[in-house]
Amino acid sequence: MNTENRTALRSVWILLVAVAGFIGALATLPVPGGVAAPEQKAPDESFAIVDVTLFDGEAFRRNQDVWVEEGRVRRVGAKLRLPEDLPRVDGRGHTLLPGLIDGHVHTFGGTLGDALRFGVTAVLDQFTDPGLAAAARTARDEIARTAEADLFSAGMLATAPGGHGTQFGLAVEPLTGPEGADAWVRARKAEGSDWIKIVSEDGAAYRGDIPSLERETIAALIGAAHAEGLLAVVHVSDLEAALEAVSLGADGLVHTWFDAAISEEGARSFAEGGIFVVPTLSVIMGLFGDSTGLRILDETEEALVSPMQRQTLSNRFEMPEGPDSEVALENVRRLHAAGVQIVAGTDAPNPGTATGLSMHGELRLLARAGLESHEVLAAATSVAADAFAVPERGRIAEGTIADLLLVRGDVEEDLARTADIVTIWKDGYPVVRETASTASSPEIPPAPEGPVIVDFEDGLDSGFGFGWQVTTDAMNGGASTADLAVEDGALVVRGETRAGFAFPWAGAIWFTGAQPMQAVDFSGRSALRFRTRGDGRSYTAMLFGAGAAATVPPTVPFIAGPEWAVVEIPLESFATADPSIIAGLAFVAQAPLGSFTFELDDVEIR
Amino acid sequence: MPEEAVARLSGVTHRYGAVVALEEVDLEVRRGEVLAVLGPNGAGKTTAISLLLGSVAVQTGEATVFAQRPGAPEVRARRGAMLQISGVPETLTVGEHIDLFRAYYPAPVSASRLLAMAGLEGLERRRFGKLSGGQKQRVMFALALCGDPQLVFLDEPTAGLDVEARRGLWDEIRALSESGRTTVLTTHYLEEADALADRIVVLHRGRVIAEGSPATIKSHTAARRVRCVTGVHRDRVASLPGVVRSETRGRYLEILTARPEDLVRALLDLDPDLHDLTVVGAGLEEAFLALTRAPDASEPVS
Amino acid sequence: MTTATLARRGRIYVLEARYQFLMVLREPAFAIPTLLFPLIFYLFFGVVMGGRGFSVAAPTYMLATYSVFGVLGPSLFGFGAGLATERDSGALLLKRTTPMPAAAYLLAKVGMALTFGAAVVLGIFFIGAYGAGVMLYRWQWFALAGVVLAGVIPFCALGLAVGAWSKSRAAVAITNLVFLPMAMLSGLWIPITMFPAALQDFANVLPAYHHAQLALKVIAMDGGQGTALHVAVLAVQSIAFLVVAAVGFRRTESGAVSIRGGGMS
Repeated sequence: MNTENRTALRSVWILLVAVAGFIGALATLPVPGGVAAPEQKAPDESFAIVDVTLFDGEAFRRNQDVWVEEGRVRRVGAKLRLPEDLPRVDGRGHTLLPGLIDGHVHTFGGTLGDALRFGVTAVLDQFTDPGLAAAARTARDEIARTAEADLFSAGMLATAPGGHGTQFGLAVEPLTGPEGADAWVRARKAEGSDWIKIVSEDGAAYRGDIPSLERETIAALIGAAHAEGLLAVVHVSDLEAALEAVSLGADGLVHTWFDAAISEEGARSFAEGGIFVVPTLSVIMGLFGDSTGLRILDETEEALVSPMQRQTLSNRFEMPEGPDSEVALENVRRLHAAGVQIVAGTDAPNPGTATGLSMHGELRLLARAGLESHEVLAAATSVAADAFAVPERGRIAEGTIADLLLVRGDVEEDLARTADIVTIWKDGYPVVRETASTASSPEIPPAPEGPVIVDFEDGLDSGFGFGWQVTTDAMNGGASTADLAVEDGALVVRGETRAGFAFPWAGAIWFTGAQPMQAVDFSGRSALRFRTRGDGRSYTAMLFGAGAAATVPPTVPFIAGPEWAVVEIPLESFATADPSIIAGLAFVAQAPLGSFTFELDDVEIR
Repeated sequence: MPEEAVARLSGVTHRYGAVVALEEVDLEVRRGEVLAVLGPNGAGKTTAISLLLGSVAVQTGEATVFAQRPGAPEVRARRGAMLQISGVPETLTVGEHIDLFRAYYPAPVSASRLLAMAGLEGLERRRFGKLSGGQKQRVMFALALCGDPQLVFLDEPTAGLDVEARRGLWDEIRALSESGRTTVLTTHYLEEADALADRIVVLHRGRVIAEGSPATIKSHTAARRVRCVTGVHRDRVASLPGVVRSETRGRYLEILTARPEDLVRALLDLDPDLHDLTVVGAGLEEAFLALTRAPDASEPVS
Repeated sequence: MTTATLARRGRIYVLEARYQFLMVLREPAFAIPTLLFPLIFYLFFGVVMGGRGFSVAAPTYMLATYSVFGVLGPSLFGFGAGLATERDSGALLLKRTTPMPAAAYLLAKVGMALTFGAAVVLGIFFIGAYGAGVMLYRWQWFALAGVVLAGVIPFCALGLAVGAWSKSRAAVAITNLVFLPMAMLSGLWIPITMFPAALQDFANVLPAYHHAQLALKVIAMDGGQGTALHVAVLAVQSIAFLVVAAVGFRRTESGAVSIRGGGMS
């Protein structure tokens, strides 16, 4: 009987396996909110860059071999004994640098990608959305393939009510006096701030007058930071503020100033106090019309530059007559001469700068301020890492993370070669230097920092973007209708889907750009959240990219039931959607045909 | 008990619309014998087999197999069949077809034995569609034997085969009867019936017109066709002894007779000018006509 | 019934299904069109063309309708053309002289249609999900697959009716004459809402229309008729097809032998 049954039993097994496979395959299909990031692990391939001119973070060394294994530098030296089968990169005629560290940036949108694409493998952020910083913190601790630079951040900044830093729309908790300093610092530490950034800015250098923190408050903040084991850095724009900050115990200043040059003894006192300075010559020289950044833009392959980089580089601050850019350079020159640690930083993406790209300009500006090539490069690598206590980065030595930058030519002789990038490795993975398919689209303005919420308290005006409109299939010859009304602070969408067009739809669309279907850069945001209620039928949320890229708008269904309910849809659930290009969000009824009513409130991209 | 009937048609009449396929047919299949149902195309052989297979419902009369109705499950399990027009799906292999058919029966013959019995060794992995005509018939033969049947129906098993393939299949059928199975085969070749059968039943136009051992049947079928040019009228010829039928064809007179010598002698007596005389053996149909001695002038001899 | 008998009967069903499946799988004229056409059509109309302009839901809508199309094909052709061929070749008649339960034969064909249908459904789901970004709740993926595959019941019944009434030579052509216009007019290729009102009304007589509407209900893209209506129509039609098939078999069964007997003289 056994032999008689063999074929039949095998068939039954095959059937069971097939059924299990079918069910298993169905279970892997994408569901709203259920999109998991692909598994990432350390690269198993190892490789070596051989016979290269190496800048190890402090000095140039000729004819060096660098052996990378599992995302870290395993060995560095001349004529290393490398395994036979180890893939080799011929380094002759090239210079290998540690991945650059930009000592002053602001993170939002696609800036971390922009940074990495230009060899900046870590950024020291001096003010951003704390939530964003927290998310980035987990990413930087993984050895994994990534398209973004590692983010170290101060998170929220400390400023006075109405002071510098409150104008960007990001959530800021201003301080009114020294008494709140301890709690404020502890809150930052709890949020995960890597250091404390304090604003000392009365607008004088810009011929303005804005509220600034009192001296006592600054002192209290610095003290509180130190008590919590955090560094305290200070934003200054004039000499007086700089001297005051240092006298109050600041660890570093994150701008140079241009109202007056520091005296030699002043500079020496900085050096003796172990103060570091991030001059951010890129943004400051940009104020005076310096075009270093634009020159680098000209040298750079067009496809590598994101619309946002192009945009921010071409923006200009309004600068009054008077101050002299040479003063800013002279300050750096004197500080450096006195032995003050200089950290390279750009303050990108402020006007006149572009994240990543401007770092190469910053290097050239620092050279103009009198730093030797190796000092300039140290300012952008080891000195930056040491100043902000960034571990395992900024040097090429045994055990450091393999964040590497291979450029053509000899950087020691010609600092401009840093922009002639051959390969960038991040965590040992070569970086694909691609912009997010946005190269051809026009400038995409970034969304305001922080969550963008429409609560309909002021009618249909979203307070952001073009606002809310009716959308129906009428544009495709359909006959569906919809009406929008704001009732009791909520958007009520009533309408009827009717036969006419193949895929009838009707509902409301929120144009997030200044014009309908003009894209806005929402990168860094992770979810669409809204409250809804309605007649119980299924609705569809659709995310529209730029008007030109009219591919299938990705959709996610939701149900509007009788009670108010919060729907949160991760942006990644909108397959094929790119958060850096969002032109609109639609909330529509489709089939079955018939009338419908639903309400929306507190629509938020966060 | 060689006389015991394992299958029987009693007083069966079967019509397809106005066409009478079988008329008052009594037919008995005895245990252990090879019974040949002989007859020309259209004689009703296949209808008779279909009734015994239960694939056609009885209209008038009675059909029994193993004393049960032909379609009964117990009957199906003990019976095998090879149909006149039959193929099986061409994309399955010989082995797969055998595997499937064996599964239908409670006590199947082993696959290797079936392959041996049908002379299909080495072909089990070949697809049915890739086989020659003879090999296909052997597969159908093997499928008929899957259930180790006591009664096997072979409806024109050698139709369309060349001489060599036919002889080969004959050997397998002989071996079948030697293994003690009862076999019913239909054929329109007297030669085949003679070679294989213990007993022959001759069907013609739905009637059993003769029944007996192959030797008996053969002795009745020695009809000849005589052709000549003569002035004697065909009606005169028809009255001569031994003449089955006479007919004018062009300038020839054609006469069917069981006693050609007597006829030629009588014709020459009647017409000394008779010429262009030929005498040929008649076909099976003429043989059957001779058997029935029931001339039908309206029916042309083909 | 003893366990051994049960096991033997079970084996007949399993092997019948196995060989039915192998048989058509090895038949390129069957396997390639039934497996690939729905996938290619969906890729072309649903994903490549469907994404034009503002037509938001094309890939999702067509995910359901082309899956129905994918089940319709093997059901109709397996029963319509397949059965007619096997009947005219005598294979069916031969099987009916054996102790094979007729249900084993019919269920094997249904199983084959189900297997091919499942393969097509899976293919379309993956193309939709990863090629067009279609996203459904997990219960929707499963429910859609289930509803679509349940379509083998009415479609196999229809195929059985077609197979019972057509000769093998003509069966493929006749099946196509049923298959293609019905797929088109039921809105499986192009949404039904694009048709003139008269054609939309006409669709109500087509089983594929009702089945597609049930599938579309899972993703809330149906035309708004009641579930009960669709189910009832499909049930009534399935029974009607089975009756038509039974009549057809009775007719050809008596006719086939006479044709065969007479055709030889």
